[in-house]
Amino acid sequence: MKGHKLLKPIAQQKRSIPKFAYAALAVVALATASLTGCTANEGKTVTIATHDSFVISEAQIAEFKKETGLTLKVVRAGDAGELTNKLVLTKGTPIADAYFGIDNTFMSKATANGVVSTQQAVDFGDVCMNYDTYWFEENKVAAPTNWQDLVKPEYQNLTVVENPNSSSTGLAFLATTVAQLGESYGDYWKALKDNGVKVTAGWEDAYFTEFSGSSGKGSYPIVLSYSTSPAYEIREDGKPQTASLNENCFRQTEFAGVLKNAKHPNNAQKVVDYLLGDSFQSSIAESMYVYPQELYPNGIPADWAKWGKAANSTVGQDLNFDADREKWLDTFNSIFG
Amino acid sequence: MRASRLAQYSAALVFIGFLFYLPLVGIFAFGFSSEFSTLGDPDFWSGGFASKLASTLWFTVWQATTSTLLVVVTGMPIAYLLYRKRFAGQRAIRVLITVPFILPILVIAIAFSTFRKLNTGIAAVDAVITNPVFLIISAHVFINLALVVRTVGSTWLGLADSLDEAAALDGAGRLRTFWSVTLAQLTPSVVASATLVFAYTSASFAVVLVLGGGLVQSLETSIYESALIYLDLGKAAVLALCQLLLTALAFWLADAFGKQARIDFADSESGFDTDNHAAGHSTRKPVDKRDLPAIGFGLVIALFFVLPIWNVFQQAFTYGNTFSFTNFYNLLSGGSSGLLDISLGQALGNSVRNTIIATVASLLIGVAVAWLLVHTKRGLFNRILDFAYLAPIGVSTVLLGLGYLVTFSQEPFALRASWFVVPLVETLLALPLVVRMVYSALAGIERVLLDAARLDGANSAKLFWQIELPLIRPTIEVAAGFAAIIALGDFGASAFLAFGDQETLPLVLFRLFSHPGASNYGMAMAMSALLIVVTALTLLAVSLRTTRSIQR
Repeated sequence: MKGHKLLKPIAQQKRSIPKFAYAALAVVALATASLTGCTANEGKTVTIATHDSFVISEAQIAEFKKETGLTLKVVRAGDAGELTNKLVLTKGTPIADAYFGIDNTFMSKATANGVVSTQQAVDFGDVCMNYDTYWFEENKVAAPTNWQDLVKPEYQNLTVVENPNSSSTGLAFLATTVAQLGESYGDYWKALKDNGVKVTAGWEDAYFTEFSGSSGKGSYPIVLSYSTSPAYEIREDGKPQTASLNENCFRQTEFAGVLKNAKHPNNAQKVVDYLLGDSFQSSIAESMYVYPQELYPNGIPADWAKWGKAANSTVGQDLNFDADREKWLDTFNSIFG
Repeated sequence: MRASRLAQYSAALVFIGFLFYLPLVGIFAFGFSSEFSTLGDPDFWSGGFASKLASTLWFTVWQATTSTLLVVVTGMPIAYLLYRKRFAGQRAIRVLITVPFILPILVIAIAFSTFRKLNTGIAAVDAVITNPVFLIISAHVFINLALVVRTVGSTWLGLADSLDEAAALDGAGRLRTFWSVTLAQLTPSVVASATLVFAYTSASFAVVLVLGGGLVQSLETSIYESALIYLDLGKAAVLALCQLLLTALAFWLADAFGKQARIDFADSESGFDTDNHAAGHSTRKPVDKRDLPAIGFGLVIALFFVLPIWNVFQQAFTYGNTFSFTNFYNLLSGGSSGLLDISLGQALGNSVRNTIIATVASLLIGVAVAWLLVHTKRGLFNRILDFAYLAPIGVSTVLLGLGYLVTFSQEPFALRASWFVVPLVETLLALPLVVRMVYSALAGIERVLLDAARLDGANSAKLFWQIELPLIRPTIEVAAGFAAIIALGDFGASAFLAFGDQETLPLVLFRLFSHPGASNYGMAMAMSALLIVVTALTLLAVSLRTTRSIQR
């Protein structure tokens, strides 16, 4: 038996890999190689990348198709920051043709990275302090007139704001203080902290849980919110329970446009044109709670015209978010630990 | 080496090298050099990142260790009750504890998040059950209990009664017998399952993301945050390196001790239903009153187990504080204000399609590679191939997803833009496990069988199809099960790569769950409830079918 050819260790005998293994590898290799091709219906569809708060109705998509013959696909990619980052990371082969929702705090990052071809303002919202008028009447305290008042002793433990690390509303207010106060913005925040300001992770927690003027019936009568918020707190007497401090607010402007390297840039422009047209603009206020850029002061609900107008004055348009955001956040974090 | 053999090896190596190692290297290269990196800053390390890295690493390790210890301690009495004793409803209970292991992890995370809304009124209890760390560790125990119970239980079932009886004759009580006699015999399977649990929990992503609420970070969630929220790829790369080392260590530990681990989903291998009739009675005795402590413990665990599932069902059937079917009706539409880009049906279709492709592909490639490894001499090339396919066994989904996003976004290799990229990544994630399992099985076939067949004139194709394949079929089924679980539940890689109409079920669930709105939340709960029911029924059916085929 020893030395018999057939009993050599298996490893040294001639053999071939079962054919199916070649077939399997070939199939997978072919599939892998074909990854770069195939977009179905070239020229008939267009994709838009948006943040999670974007709203478009089936009727509007159908209207767009009727007007242009194009099928619109929406890709939601997180909040404005995540959307921008994903677009930056995929700029060679973008995930869409057009975009909606990069706002003025992230646009500098997008343009610095060569992500966008065009940008047009499509809507805006004003971040302002709101306060509960009922609370101030009952407690016989004079309501604040400006956010700079909030460090005064009579407003101790009354304010709730959002964390600028996790909330765009919070970041907007941080930027406001930078724009208005310059180098001494850190002192303002230290004073705020000493005056008992509460910081929540997001706007929902602040407004719907901690704020006394809304459904949460919390214990804080001053909240960082939007100039439109009072229009949603109208009580039985037809007047809102809350009011907005409309001086020196921060205007968040959202942009839409065509992405660089888009597969269908012409179609992308058609989408942007639709978003700037009357039909879509007149739905923006009710579905996304922001002011339509092209129609304002028209195109908003009646309650807004009375109680939720845009701010009287805004600050912060000239700030460079891309360059300085980290610095401001570091300052905030060093104060609030 | 002959040319054909060289070609085969090269093909296998190029495949894994291009599709796996290249993206990994890509992240590090990108991270350490790119404009998105703060690594160049002189105070990169001193600006708090070093301490953040240390604390994240520490948290990842200790929660994994704690979860592992808890699940082992919890699993032993359950294994005893389910595999050494007999009582009515055992099969149902075994199915119940296996359901969490098979469900997409995101569903578990969502189920545990319902505890945050629970209000017992007792401040101390509330503080504990809403604590993110408590929730994370509990979820880990919940998911991995079946792994320990089934592994230890299968081994326990096979232990001879005679040793126990001899100890009893000498006067040892139940606990003493367990401690001195049984435990030593169970140690290999306990260690095997424990190291596997440690490996899984140290790489945990969805659980920490959902239950941590941003307050608690593991390495995985930190990578995700650095890359997608801060666009700081330098930090992401450093975190990724730590992650790689940690999970590689964990999985190599699991691999070293894990060869004895046989996870048995269908009760087919453990011989659970083939009782020993030799002495005219079964080896599994009915429960008696000396088992009361174990039963008491078991009931507590059962309560803890049922509670999250109960919460999910309760929330699924609630809308606006009353019992209603609204959430299920809403499932058929697209969520409030058209929140979703695709319907749930499409998402389910994507997930199923991806799972099937990933399972089939990883099986085909895994078997081919394992075959190549077993049937060639254990030389240098063999070792290289072995390492190349097994080293990735612990790589995190977040890492791979990010790697693909970063490396394959440019022409000519714009893989990222295709729908195929998600099943491809899932295949790669499952591949090392499949290769390892099939390799062990193939290597365990006795040479005598193969030599005898060769003597009769069989060539290697015949050998494979007619001898090796049938012998390793149980292993292939288990490997397929693991691959399917990995693919179906994948959240980390899809979070980076599945956009728009390619979104998978876990992604859609996450979007519904994390977007404020009563109807979105309700829909997420309804979908979770459906998934739980479907999984449980499937497991039950598989378990029943294999029993019947054994009895035939």
